[in-house]
Parts: sequence; C-alpha cells; structure tokens
Amino acid sequence: MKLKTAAFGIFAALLVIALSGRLPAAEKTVLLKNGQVITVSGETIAGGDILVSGTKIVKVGKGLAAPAGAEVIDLAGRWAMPGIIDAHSHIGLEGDVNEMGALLTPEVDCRDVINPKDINIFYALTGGVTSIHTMHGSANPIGGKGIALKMRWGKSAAELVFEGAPLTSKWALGENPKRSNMSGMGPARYPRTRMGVEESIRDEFEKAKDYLKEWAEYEKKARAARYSKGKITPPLPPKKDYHLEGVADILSGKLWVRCHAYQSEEMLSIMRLCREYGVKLVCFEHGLEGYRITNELVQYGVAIATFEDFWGYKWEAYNTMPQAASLCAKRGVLVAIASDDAERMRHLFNDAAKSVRFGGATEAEALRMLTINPAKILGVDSRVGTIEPGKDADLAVFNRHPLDPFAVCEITMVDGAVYFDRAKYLEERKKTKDEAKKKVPEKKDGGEV
Amino acid sequence: MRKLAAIFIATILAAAALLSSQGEQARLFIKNATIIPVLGERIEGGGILVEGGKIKAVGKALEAPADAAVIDASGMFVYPGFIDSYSHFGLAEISSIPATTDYREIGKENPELRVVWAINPHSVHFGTGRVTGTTSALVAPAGGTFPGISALVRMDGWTVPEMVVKEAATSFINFPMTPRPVGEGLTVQKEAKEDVTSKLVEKIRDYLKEARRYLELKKAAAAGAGVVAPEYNAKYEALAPVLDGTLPVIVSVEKAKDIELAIKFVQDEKLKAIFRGCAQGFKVADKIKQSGIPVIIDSLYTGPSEPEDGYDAPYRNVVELARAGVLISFSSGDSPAAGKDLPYHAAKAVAFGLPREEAVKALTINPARIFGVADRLGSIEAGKDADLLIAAGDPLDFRTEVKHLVINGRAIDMANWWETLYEKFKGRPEK
Amino acid sequence: MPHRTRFRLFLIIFISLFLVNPSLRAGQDLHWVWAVKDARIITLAGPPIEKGTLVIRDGLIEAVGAAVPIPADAEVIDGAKLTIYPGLMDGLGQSLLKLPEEKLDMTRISSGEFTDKDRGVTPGLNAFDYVNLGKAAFEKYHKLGFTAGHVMPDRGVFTGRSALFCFSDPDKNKALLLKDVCLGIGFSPSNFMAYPSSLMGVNAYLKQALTDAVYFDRAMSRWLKEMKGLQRPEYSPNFEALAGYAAAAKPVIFLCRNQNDVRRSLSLAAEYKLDYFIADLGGEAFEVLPELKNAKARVLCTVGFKPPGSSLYAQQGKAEREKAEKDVYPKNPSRLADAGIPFAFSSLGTDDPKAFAEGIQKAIEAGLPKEKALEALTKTPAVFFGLNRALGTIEPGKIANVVLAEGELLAKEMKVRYVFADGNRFELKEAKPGEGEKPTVNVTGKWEMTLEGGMGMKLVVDFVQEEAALSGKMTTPFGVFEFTGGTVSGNSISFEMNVSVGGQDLDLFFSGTVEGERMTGSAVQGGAGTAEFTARRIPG
Repeated sequence: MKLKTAAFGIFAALLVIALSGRLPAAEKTVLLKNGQVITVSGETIAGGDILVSGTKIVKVGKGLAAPAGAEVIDLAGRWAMPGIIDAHSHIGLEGDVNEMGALLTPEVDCRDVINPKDINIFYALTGGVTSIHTMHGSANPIGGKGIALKMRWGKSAAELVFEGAPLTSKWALGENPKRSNMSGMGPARYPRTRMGVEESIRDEFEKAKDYLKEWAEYEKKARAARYSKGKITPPLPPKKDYHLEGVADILSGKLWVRCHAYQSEEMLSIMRLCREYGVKLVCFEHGLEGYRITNELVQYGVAIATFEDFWGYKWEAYNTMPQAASLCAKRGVLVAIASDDAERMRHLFNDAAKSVRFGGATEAEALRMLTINPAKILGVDSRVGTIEPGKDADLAVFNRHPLDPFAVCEITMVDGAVYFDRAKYLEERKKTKDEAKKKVPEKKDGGEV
Repeated sequence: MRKLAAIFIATILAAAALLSSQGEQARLFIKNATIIPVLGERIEGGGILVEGGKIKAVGKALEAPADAAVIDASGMFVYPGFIDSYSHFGLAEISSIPATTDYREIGKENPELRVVWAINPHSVHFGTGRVTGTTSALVAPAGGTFPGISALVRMDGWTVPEMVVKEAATSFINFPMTPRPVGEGLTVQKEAKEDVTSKLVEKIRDYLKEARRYLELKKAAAAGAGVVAPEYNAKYEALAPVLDGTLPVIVSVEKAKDIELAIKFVQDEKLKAIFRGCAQGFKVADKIKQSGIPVIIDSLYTGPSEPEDGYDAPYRNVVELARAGVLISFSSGDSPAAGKDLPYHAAKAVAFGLPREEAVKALTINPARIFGVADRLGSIEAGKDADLLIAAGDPLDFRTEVKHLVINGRAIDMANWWETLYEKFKGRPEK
Repeated sequence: MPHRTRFRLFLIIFISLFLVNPSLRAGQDLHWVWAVKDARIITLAGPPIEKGTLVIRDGLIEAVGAAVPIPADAEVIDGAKLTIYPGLMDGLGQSLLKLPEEKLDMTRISSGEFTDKDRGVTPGLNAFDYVNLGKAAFEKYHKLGFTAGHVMPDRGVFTGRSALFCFSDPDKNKALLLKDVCLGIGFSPSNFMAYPSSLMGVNAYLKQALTDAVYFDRAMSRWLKEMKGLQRPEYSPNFEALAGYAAAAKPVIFLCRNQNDVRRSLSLAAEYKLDYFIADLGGEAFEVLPELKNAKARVLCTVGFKPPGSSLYAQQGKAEREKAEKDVYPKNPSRLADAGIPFAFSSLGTDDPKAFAEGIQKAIEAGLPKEKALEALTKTPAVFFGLNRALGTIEPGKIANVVLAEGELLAKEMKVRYVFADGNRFELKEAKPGEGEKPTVNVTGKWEMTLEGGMGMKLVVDFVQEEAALSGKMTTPFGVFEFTGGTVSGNSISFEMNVSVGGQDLDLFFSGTVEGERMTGSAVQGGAGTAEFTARRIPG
C-alpha cells in the first residue's frame, strides 16, 4: 500500500514537472479582430477574429473575446491569410549557394552556412512570407542539403531553423548541371547530356550501396572479434565518408528529394529512377513542362514548385506557358508557386493572382499555391499553411484581398510575434527623416515621404 | 469552254473575296462598351467606329454601320492600347542563346545602329507580350555608352515597315553609374577614392565635342570656302539630330547624385533628354521637375537602389516623381519574356499611392507625349490611330483578360505561343 | 733557418692571423650586459617599481628591483625619464610573412587541373620557411613597443603552421622562439571552381578532412604496430600534417571572418575535440559571448573594427556601417574583457604595426582598461603559446624582451627610446617630419598585383615613375594594357587604364598607398564596382 502511494506520488510529481514544462510562465495572447480571415482550410470568414496564444492559433471565428492581458490588433476589415511559404529560395545563406568544385556534393549542408543577418529575411516579411525552404543551387546533379527556415528576423541562425521540418537533398537536371550556358568557364566536363546527368546519379547510388555493404560487413566482423575473446583481431573500420553517407540518406528516404528540372522527359525518367531505388522524390523545382506529364506526376505523387510566368530565359524554359500552374493544379498535381529569387519572393501573391487569368485557377486554388501546398511540399503542413486552431500563428495581413492588384502587405506575424508592421515602419522612417532634417536645416531634399 | 468558264468564275470569286477581305478591315464597330478615353470623360454604354486604321468617331449615341464588323463589348472596358516605353521585343528570343539575341552590339560607341534593321516581327514575344493590352512599344538597343537608335513599333504586323510608328524614335546615352558603397556577400567594398563618374562623363562630353567638330567641318566644306570635308563618319552623322535636339535621347541614370550630374550634362550639351530609371529620383524630384525632363520608369521587379532607401523605394519613387509633377511612363524593361507585365508595374505603383488615373496616363498619353506621337496615339479621340484594348475588367488587374486588341484599326488574332501549348496539352486525356 | 727562429716566425704568423682575421673566431658581441638605472619599471609580476634598476645579461633578465646593484661589466642606460615595460607580443600577424610568388598557369587552371594549393589546402606550409625578418621590419614594430610576434599563413582552408619569433635578429634561426605552434583553419573557399569553392563546401570539407586525419593516424599506427594481416593505409602528406592537430596534441587557430564563423568554429572544435584559438578577424566576438564563455574559448582579438559584409550594419548602408565602425565594433575587446574571456591582440586586419597600435588605442578609448590591454599584449599571449616561463613579464630568468619608453605605453604621445629583444639593444631615433605632396616613394619596377575576387588572377604591373608622374603597363591573361594616366603624391599613387575584354570596354581606376615593398588600394570600374588590391614588388 505504501509503495503504491509512493509510486503515485512520484508519478504525480513527474506529471506536474512535465506539464509545467509545457506551460510557459506567461503566455502572450494576441487577438486579431474584425478582418476577412482567409483560412484556406475552409471558408473565408467575413468580420472574423483570430485568437493567438504563445506561438499557436487557439481559436478562429467571429466575436471572440479578448482574454485578460491580450494585445488586440484591429484588422479593421483587412485581409488575413496564412503566412506565405516560399518553397524554393536561396536567401539567408552565406557564400556561394553552389559548390561547383565537384559534380556531386551531398556532403555539403546549407545548415552550416545560415546567415541570420541577411536583409532578405526582412524583405521576405514585407511580402507576407513567413517560412521558406532555402537550398543549394542547381549546378550539381546531386547537390547539398537544404533547410527550412522561419522568418524570425533578428534571431540567431539556430533559432531560424524550422524545427521538425524534414531535411532535404537538392538535385538538378538539365542545362545547369550540363553547363550548357557556361561556355568558356572551365574545361569540358562530364556530363554534357541529360543521359549523363541521370547516370551520374545512378552511379552514386550504387557507390553508396557498396559503402553501406562495407560497413555492414565490418559490423559483422567486429562483432565476431568481440565474441572471440581476443582470438580474432578486431578489424579496422572503413573510413567514414560524409559524401557517401549523404547519398545513403537519400536512398534510405531520410532526405526528401527536391529536384530542379524543366523538360518533361527528364522528369519522367528521374521519377522512374526514384521508384526503382525507393528514393523519396517529393517535388520538381520549376518543372515548367510539368503540364505535359500531369498524369505521371499524379501517379508518382510528385509535386511542383514552379514559376507562374518566369520563362524563356533558356531553351528548356521555352516550351511553357503561364497557364501551366493552373492546368497542373486542375489535373490534380500539387502545385506551389515559388520564387527562387529574393526579389520575386516579395510579390508571390501577385504571381498567384496571375494564375486566375492564365489557366482559370479559382482564387481558392491560387491561394493554396502560396500556403498549404508548399507546406505539404516542405512536410510542415501539420504546423502551417492554414489558419486553424492548433497551427502556428504565422499570418500575413493585407490592406486588400491578397490577389487584388493593389494589395500591400501590412503586418506579418511568425509564431505569434509581429515581425513586420508597415505602419510602424513608415513612422520610424518619418521620425528618422525629421531628426535628420533638424540637424541639417539648410539641406533640402526633393519631395520625400 | 466549261473549264474556261470555271476558271473565269473562280477568278472573279477570288477577286471578290480579296475585295471583301479588304472591306472587312475597312470598318470596325465596338458597341456597348465602357470607354476610358484618357483625355476626356468616361463613356458608359458607348461605341467606337474605326475606319481606315483610324478612330472615326467615339460617343454614346453611335450606331454600327451595316458593313462594319461588330465587337460587342458589353460588360467590358475599352482603353487606348498601352504603350511600353522600353523593351527589346523582336530583338531577343531566348536570352541565354546568343544566336537568338540582337540587342547588344560590341563596342562603346554605336549611335548609328538602328533596331529596325534587326527586329523580328514574328518573335514569340510580340504575341505573348501584348496579351495584357500593349499595342505599341519602344524597341531599344543596349550596351556600351551609345547603343544606337530605338524605334516605336506596333505589336502586330507582317513586316517591320508595317509595324513602324516611328523608325527613329530616340537615341541613347548610358550614363556611368557611381558604384554602390556597400557590397553584397561577405566583403564590403570601399567607396571609390576618386570621382570616377565625373571622369567618365568628361569622356562622353569629349566624344560629343568631336562629333560637333565633324559636323561643323562638313557644313563649312559644303559651303565652299576652301574647307576640306572630313571623311565620312557614320557615328558622328548619327549624332547630328541628337546634338541639334531634333532626336530625343534617353539617358539611363540611377543614383540621386548621378541624376543631378545628368541634368547638368543634358542642359550643357543642349540635348532633348528623356531619363530612364531614376531609381533615386524621389530624392531630387523637384530638380527633375524643374528640368522638364520626363522619366521612363523601369520594371518595378527590383529592390531599392541602396538599402537605406527603404524596401518600398522602387514604388514610392514613382509616387514621389508623379507628385512632384514629373512626366512619367512605364516600361516592361530588359526582358521581352516579361513584356506582358507592363500594366502590373503600373498596378504596383498604384498600390503604394499613385492615383490610378495617373497610372493609366503613364501607360497611354504620357508615353505618346514623350515620344512625340500624341497626335496619333495615347487616347481614344476621333482622328487618332485605332490602337485599343478591350478588357473584361480592370486591365491593371492580374485577373483580367483582355478579350480583343485593335491595332492600327484591325482586330488582331490574339493567338500566341502560350495558347498553342495550352490548347494542345489541355487536350491530353487524364488517366 | 735556426730552430728558434722558425718557431718565432710561426708564432708571429699565428698571432697575426689571430689578430688580423677576427673571423677565425665567431664575431664577438661586446654588448651582453646592460643595466638600466633609476627607471620606472612595470614588471607585471608585482606592483610597479617607481625607481629601480634592470640588469640584462646574455639575453636574459638577470635582476630587477629597487635596490639592485649595477654589475661592473654592465653598460649603463640612464632611465630617469623612462618607463620599462615587458616587450609587447603580436598575438597573430602576417606582415612579416613573405609567401612564395606564384606564377599562375592559366592553361592548367582552365583545364581543371587543380592542386591542393588552388583549393587552399596547405597544412604543411610553414611560416618559418617564409618569414622575412630584417631591420626595417623590426623597426616598425620596435617603434610601438613590440619585441615578439606570432606569424602564420592565412590563405585558404588549412592555411599552414605558425611560428613565434623574437624581433631580435635578422637570422631567423636565432630569432625563432617556437616552430609549428598552431595550424590555421580558414573559411575562405577557393578562387577557382576547385573543391571546395563555396562556404558550405569548406564546412563539409573540414569535417571530412578532420575525420580522415584521425582515421589515417589510427590506421597508420595500427599498421606500424602489427603489420601482419592488415592493409597498409595510403600515405597522404596532408593527413600526416593534420594528424597532430586533429588529435588535439597541438592547437588550431580558426580564422573567423564574422560571428557565423565563430559559431561554426566552436561547433567544429566541440565535435572533433580540438584544442583551438578563435582569431576574431571580423571583430564580432561580442555577439557570441555566452557561447565563447561556455566553451572556455581563447580569442585572438583584432582591431580593424570594420563591420564584416555579412553584418546588418554593412547591409544597411554607408551611414550605419560607419556608425558601427565608430561606436560598436571598437567595444569588442572591452566586452570580451568584461565577460572574462581571455584574449590576446592580433594585428591581422591592419596594414602595419602603426595601424595595429592605433587600433589598440581605439579599443582603450572605447572602454578597455589599459591594464587589460597591456595584459593582452604580454602575459596572455605568453600563456596562450606556452611561453609564460620565458616571456610576458619582467622577472629574473625570463628572456630580456623589454621596452624603454617616454610616456605611457600604448598612449598616443608615447615615444619608444630603446627596445631590448633577446637582450640585443635597439635604439630608436626620432621620426622625420611628415611628408608633403612630393612623392616619398618610387615605385619604378615590376610589381605583382592580386585583385580581390579576381579569381586569384595575378597581374604584373610595370611602373615607370618620374618625379610625380606615373606611367607604365599592366600584363594580364587577356593582354597588356598601357596606363592612360597616373600620379604619385606622398606615398599615394593613382593610375588609370582602358581594358578591352570579350567585346567589353572597361575604364579602370586604381588608387593605393605604398609601404615599402607592399601596396594596397582599390580598383574602380566606372559603373560596376570596386575591388581591393594588394601588390608586392617583384625582387630583382
């Protein structure tokens, strides 16, 4: 009896400790009230409210009450949508985004070079973007590992990482790894054809399999040596090879593969390769000819993170159209609109609007391409991509409907904290200007705001 | 005999068909439209009669003549066709393939090169670039200090001569740019210890001085007086209309300091200038206004010229220039593949404070004035050329479809490369 | 000849040889005992001695104190107006380094044949082999109170090994204190498309190399021990060079360009259990204080104080950057001191010892206590590099590296009168009045120039200077280009030229300052940007 009470006491104590760990000392609450709430998961709520506690959305509805001590943000009829997710970016990284010294570089990791002071993180917020996937460039058939980040501007590199997001491997097919547009830069290098690009990936898979076999054999021999009590000399382990371990992680499915590709035949061929080796190919980057193989994309379950209308800059980007994103979406492909560029990232919501005219996407589908679709591609759709209770409070507030041509992003919130507020930004700018004017009264500028 | 008769009849029918096809183009009537003439009041439920390539009549109480082809524009909006103030339409197909690009010649001084010698009228980008309502565009050369002479062309035609509105629209001077003091990446670039920009401007002045000298000698030699005529120099010849102010010259400038330098430069050299870019124009907007120089706004798909200008600098720049009374117009910029985005740049400026009417003017009558074709283009008025866009909504809205385009009085076929691919591949059976 | 006469002749010849040819006996140094009397002595081993005597014998400190007798054989210096300090040590620099001139074979590069050097992998490159000691070099340091310094190559990923020298003798064998002290690890990718050519690649490469070095070492020792039944490992000179450092037998120095590199270094050091120093080239250690403290890191602190390009200040425009350079970064040393993180000063990032001293003064003005500054130049570096039994303070038995100065050390008005290094006395004369507009340098001759970001391309410049007029030509892989103008004023030069490359016509303007055999400056291309350059005169 005594033992039971003691055990119960210990259990209760542990429970209290566990729970107290979960409940932060003072959870900040924010009520965003009276806005047009685009939930993406369901209907848009006119005159809707969003209650945020800590980093999470707690309630979504109408006429919500503000808890004691809550900060209230009056949306005043403005439009709130889930924070935009840019599935294809290269911002927030230090140094070259391509490791061009070797053909295949799976040992290279973007996580090692996160630059939290990159001002493009702030620019992302001004465009309503709250998380991104930033990654290696497209110089290599198998490039380095990418990382998902939340735009928590001002925090350290470690704090920017979108915790729990699957790790990724960036591949590239086509003109870039073939170096078709780089005449004069370096010697002729294999591969020069799309066939060669695919073969270099196959080769590496086989090498990784051999590497894993080598280690398995070593483990066997080491075990035998241990049990032989000194009779068998313990073997020397094989050399640890980060490069082949990177490939092994691709083969095991630990890394989600994001493959830059343009032409339909190379996409189809690589899908078959990935099926053959059991590789988790999640998304084609750009995939501008994806509209030609929508049946196969659906069959193999591969998404595309594409441009709405950036095209024609090289041959493999020529046979495409702005209707591609809508056509793919209509035919069941998971489509995200991504930027691949720090400047385009700031107006992804404009790009999505174009898909309404080109290809006839519905406004709801266009908004999904900015939110829940990229969230699924990043593997974080349980956390972000819609405005629903339990999800992260990642929101973007616009002065008009986000697909409206005159929409401006006014507030961007990540994890319940406002990281961009246009009104405050303009106030600060005016203040700095007035102070500067006071110091130098004789200097006159031409009409500045 | 029968055979002969058959041939005879066939010929007559063919001739009739030919006549009637010409007749088809002769008159066009647009009815039930909301008309935004740009100069003048909006007309609800109005009509436009187009004849012989011109706007014959505009008004509320117009009736369609019997022989006119009719476009029923119920629920739609008619604007003057948009004018793109800077592009490379027809000079580039795929930018990474040199064989398909022709807008940038080698060398610093090429003022005599004319883009009309190289524009491909069937470039895929004419077809795709006009889908949002652009009916004419300035096609420009690039590169070096004096890249050449641009042309104002329509976005449709069988040959370049059929498309040309102005064969020699403007010349160009690419002004040197003071480099950014702050570097990108890990290394911070130092400020130049010397005033390199002024040195380079001196070089340009010297070149113009040489051109003037050449022209003077030529004039004196022609007048007799025993002066030996100089050897023919195509470049200096090409600069003659620039130097006497008859051919406007587009000067590309970015930084506030460089803009001030450029204003002084064009005034000293007595050039009829148009500025392009002026990313930091908002800092010296009053000075630009005083100078009377119009500004062509470059593509707004760009960040601030310097980080401290603010993340919204490109947009508020447009607003500030317009507010100061500078004559502005929009352009789609360096990439013909992005040509259709012309009205979207205007929309972005409106989003950040430019009055919508000003934005529409900057797409229509302003560029017409800037390029000296306001008597022909830029508004819907009787007597002007019939370049019109008919849209199923606000043409500044991404979601709007432009249903018809009338160029030079003809309702053109809006088929384009994108439509070709779309029609073909949406027909693939789904599994 | 009679017997006695022959012997006398022999004696005369022998003695005359002895007297006339002193080289038969090694050059005799007659100045090995010194006494400085009545001076104020800061020993750093106890309270300052207001009026005392220092005795130096045979390169070591013999005695120091208030009532020390002056030996009979000592040469005496009157220290009445002087204060004696321990000689300062430059914790890490490379101004004394003269790395081998490299003739870049463009055909080899463009065909993709890269050497380890191209990749920046030179762990065997030894500072000792390439140090350039000499009176001129020493004088620059002595003038500011420095008597010893730590030299290390700093290019690439595994940059090379360092060496510590006394600034006492042009013969490096005599001046050497310690050799193969530290291995430099840098984060700069190669200038060509050689692996690693990106920062991420450098990170991945470092991890693999450190793993491989340890593995190689274990495999090698195992094979040497047993041999029977084992595959012998393939030899690698790089891994052999790395082995000692990878196994933490000796320290590495991480060359950190910014705070991200500092964090990266701490993480690598923890993962691979390295003994290390953080060379804070970016001057941003103050952003990483808690991590440095937890890791018990030791820092080599620089005083250039320019915000690195990755910092927010640099990205937010000139005004912000200059403000940070004035107000924020100079506080770095005092913040390290406040947080109790041990650091020594390093001259990396400054052009010459004078700029180094000025940087230290800035740090003091920004709040670093003078005693801490002095410590970071004396005791701390001695401890860091295992030399505290021989240097860092003025105590009997330690090496006689001392500074005799009028005024306070490190102050602007300070004048160094004498410096002892290894007991060798150096007297310092007054500096001449400052130069005017007239040229104070003559750059006529061949110089080898490297443009930052110029793909490692080396350019050869032929200068012809006549009074203040500068002409010449530049030889590049793309052709030879004549100057279109140039002037020399004081020790500043400027010149311009027009370069035609691939159909592009570029106007380039160069301006720089000349210090001895070295030139630094910037090149501007109208309309595109600026690039830094350094140039070294080509001897002969």
